[in-house]
Amino acid sequence: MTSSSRPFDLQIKLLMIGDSAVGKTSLLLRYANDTFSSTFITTIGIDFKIKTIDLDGKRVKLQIWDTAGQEQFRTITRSYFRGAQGIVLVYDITDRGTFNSVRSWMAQINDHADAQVNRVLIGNKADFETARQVSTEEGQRLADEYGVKFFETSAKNDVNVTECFTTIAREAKARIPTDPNNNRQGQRLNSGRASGSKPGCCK
Amino acid sequence: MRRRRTCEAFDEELGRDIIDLDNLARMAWNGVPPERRRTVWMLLVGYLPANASRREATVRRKRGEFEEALRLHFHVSPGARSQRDQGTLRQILVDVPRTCPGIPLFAQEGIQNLMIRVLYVWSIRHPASGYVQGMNDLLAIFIMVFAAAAEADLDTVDHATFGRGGFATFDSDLDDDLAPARPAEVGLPPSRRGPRGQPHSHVEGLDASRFSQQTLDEIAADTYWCLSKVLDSIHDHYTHTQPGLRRATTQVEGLLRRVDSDLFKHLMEECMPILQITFRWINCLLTRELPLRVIMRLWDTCLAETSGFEKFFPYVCAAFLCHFSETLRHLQAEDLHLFLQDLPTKDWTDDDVETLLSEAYILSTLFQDAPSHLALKEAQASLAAMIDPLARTG
Repeated sequence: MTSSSRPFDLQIKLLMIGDSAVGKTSLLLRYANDTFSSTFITTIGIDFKIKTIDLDGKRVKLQIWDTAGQEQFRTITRSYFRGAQGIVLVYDITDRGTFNSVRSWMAQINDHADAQVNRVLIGNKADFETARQVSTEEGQRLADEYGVKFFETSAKNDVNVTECFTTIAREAKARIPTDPNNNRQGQRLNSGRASGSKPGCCK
Repeated sequence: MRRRRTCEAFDEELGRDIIDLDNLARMAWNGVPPERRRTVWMLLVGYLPANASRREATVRRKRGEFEEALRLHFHVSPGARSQRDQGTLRQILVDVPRTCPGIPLFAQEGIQNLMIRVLYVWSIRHPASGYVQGMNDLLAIFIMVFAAAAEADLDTVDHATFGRGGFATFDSDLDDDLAPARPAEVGLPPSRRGPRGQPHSHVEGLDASRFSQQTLDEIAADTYWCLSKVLDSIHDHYTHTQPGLRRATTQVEGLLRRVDSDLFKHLMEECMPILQITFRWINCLLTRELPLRVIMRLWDTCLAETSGFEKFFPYVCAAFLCHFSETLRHLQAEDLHLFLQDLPTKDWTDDDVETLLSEAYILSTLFQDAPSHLALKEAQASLAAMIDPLARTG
């Protein structure tokens, strides 16, 4: 069976962002495939997964875009911000630099994503307590400052992973029926187009 | 049998005092036997001089230069690194352990340390792009080839001419080197071939722990220079906004319009930007799309072509895309994405790659000399290159 043939009531486009090697792909693969490896290959450009879930009585198809974290790929990854309905911003609790980048990522969301986009802040690698550099309180404070929900997750031990995706999906779902643009955004895969490519049917 | 004959043909050319690089490239285009790949690649990228009498001195000098670069840039106190350099180092440190997961060679400390040094020095010396993810994948290809050759050297190291840590095939004592190797290759089935005739799938099971530090240092220096040569030819694939990668994509798109307009139309209807398809292909030179054992065959040809990764590669990508046309044309948006990010190439063999290369070659002969293509060439240095003349006329 092909993914697009599965029935669903609602489709939500999510985007994973954050510095390189914070565990975006690991979180996604834990969530979508329930697998984990300590040596996932680096994401180049953009990857894509589908997960259909039951959410408060509705069949919701999540289209989850996984981006490369490296600065050099920003021009391509940024083009996927527009059209995303929920953004999962991830840092690594064992690497303060990735936490320090959160503000710059939030600024990019401001500049390039839709104004009403839902966001969630994730501190990943919570299983690696001995290497922790960012306290839970600091993470929570920053999330509060931006008015977004916060989770510490472990893709490795499957802690809070489902919760984080369900939360962002629920928030987006609550907003979408009132969003007049939903029809267009929900249906089309690439409403945020890669710049430099030829315009197609979404123009 | 074909491979053995090829080996001998290569040995004849490699044995000359001054190698005819055009002839070597012509032979390499059709595939290089694994046992000769290191030497042939080193010659094709221009690391080894064609003149046999200059080879040893050149390699010694180049290895010395790399050592010096390490001393200058890598073996420095952490405080001496700029913030940017620290960022580069961090990126490399997190990427190296994630290179070719599943291949034991790349989990080995000696190889990981080597990769860190090579990528870091390259980045510091090329600030216009710095290190870009995917370069680690390209380096990995050279490491596999050179490590396989170094391992073969180990098994024959007792032979007098191998005393300087290998590279017998470009040694001035080439004939002495080949003499003992030949009997092992003749008349034995592949599984029983001697160390010089390792079947190339063997590289995936290489054990670097057998290498001395000196051997690892030599592999580091040699892969550094070869990677540099390749990256020099496609540097603007990796500079800010990656204009070279976009230019190559535009070319793929133009080719697709012309040779498979049905597929092109379908992709447009499904809102699939060509850049999304080709981004990783071009950024990592298809190393993510094909099994490692056949990537080397693909690279034989790309290295044999003049500026192959720049000029010939878009034809390869177009042929690769058309190869899956039948399937792609029946998939809708999401399934297109899922299919394209996990192409069914797991079982590809050299034969599949050779078919692909033939198709790419046909495309290149059909379109390379078209006026629009010449216009493209002229425009390459400027922003105008972003507008594809092929696409406009297509």
